[in-house]
Amino acid sequence: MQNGELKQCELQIVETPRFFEAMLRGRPYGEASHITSRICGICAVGHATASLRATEKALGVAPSEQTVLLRKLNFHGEILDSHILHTYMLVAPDFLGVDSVIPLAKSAPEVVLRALRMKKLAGDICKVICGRHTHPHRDDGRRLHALPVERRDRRAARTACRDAR
Amino acid sequence: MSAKPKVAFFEFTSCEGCQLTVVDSLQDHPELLDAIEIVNFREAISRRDHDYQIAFIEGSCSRPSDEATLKAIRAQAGMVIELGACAHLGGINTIRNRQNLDDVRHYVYGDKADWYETYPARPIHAVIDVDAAIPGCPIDRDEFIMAVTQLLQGRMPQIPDHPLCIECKLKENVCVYQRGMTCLGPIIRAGCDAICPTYGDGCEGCRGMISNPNFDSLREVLAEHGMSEDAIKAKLTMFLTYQMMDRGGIGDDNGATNA
Ligand code: SF4
Ligand code: SF4
Ligand code: SF4
Repeated sequence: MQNGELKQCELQIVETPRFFEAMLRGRPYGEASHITSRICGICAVGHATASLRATEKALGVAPSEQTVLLRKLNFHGEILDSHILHTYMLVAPDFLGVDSVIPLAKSAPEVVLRALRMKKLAGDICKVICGRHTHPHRDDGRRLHALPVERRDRRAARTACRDAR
Repeated sequence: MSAKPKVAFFEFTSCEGCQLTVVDSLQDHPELLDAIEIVNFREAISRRDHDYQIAFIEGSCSRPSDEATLKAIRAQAGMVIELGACAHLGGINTIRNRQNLDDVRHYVYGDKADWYETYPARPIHAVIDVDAAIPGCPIDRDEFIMAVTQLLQGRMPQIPDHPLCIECKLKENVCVYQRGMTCLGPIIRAGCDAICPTYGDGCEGCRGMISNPNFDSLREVLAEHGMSEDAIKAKLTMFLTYQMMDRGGIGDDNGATNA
């Protein structure tokens, strides 16, 4: 970008074919969401959840309201996470004419540190629900293996909120 | 290692989750940027620089055209480090190695199959020499920071070579076998803080096997806990296909053709 005008745009498709559809054939259904979350580490929760829904549909199983709500919260965590990544770390450097967020850490450290804190909070929301944002566990369609009501999680949630302030 | 080594990140067949974990590790360790100069990181930096000393490689090698790039990285970097299970084990990309790859291509891309070159997915050390590996799918943030710290001190990253169960016990987890589930912990390398059992899931083996796994006994335990031969094979081939082939196979029917 120069003076608000687009000067150069590059399109690179560097991804190699992964063949997930084929890889899933013949695998136990409980693995499906764990395999498909590896489609993308940035939106792993989205892929895992889509797969869970497909699996549940195929089996004719309806998740409980509690599970649905927890999954939605998990989604919100991921959406926050990837929007912060996108806005602060990928887009802002382009608008500000630098090649990455690294020089911004020098010129506007408080903004970058705030972004990192918010990103951590977003990731911690996912962590409380599914262990980690990339790649989620605890929920594999057979059951939610554990609910985020254990002491460890409450502590993690409190620390996350405190750190984010 | 002298002041501010230049570090490059590359990805091959991967989900970029390990590189994202590198970005995430800055949340707790922004000082990392003072210690190294990142000169190549497509996910987050638009500049490219081909002068670097340390190369972190994420992803498996899954097509012939990857090989030349890998060799060029090896020729440039003093230190090449596999980043994550895809690079270290072939990762989940190797699941398809047990199928006929022409069929795999057609199944996904139909009459456009020929547009997509592929061959059996392999870890990076199957193509070029590597100096170290940081395991996991994805890597563990703390282990990554620890590995970089050790490299900066002129030491090789110290990756545990004892089974996950030890770590899991230290966390005072209830073993998932006690809850009617199964787990690869007894043969898998510790270092992830036993995160899956801690969150109530069995270990799927993303960090790879320890160097002396008590394999037969694990198979017995899995069978005793009600797993069919097929289910055991599936469990051992989510992340471990390549390591299993290295050990002489999975005891397979469809024979790991690598066609
Ligand atoms: S090891 Fe896992 S997290 Fe890392 S790139 Fe491969 S699939 Fe993604
Ligand atoms: S849950 Fe898995 S890692 Fe933990 S003790 Fe049991 S078998 Fe070992
Ligand atoms: S518990 Fe097993 S599958 Fe889970 S992160 Fe650790 S090594 Fe990987």
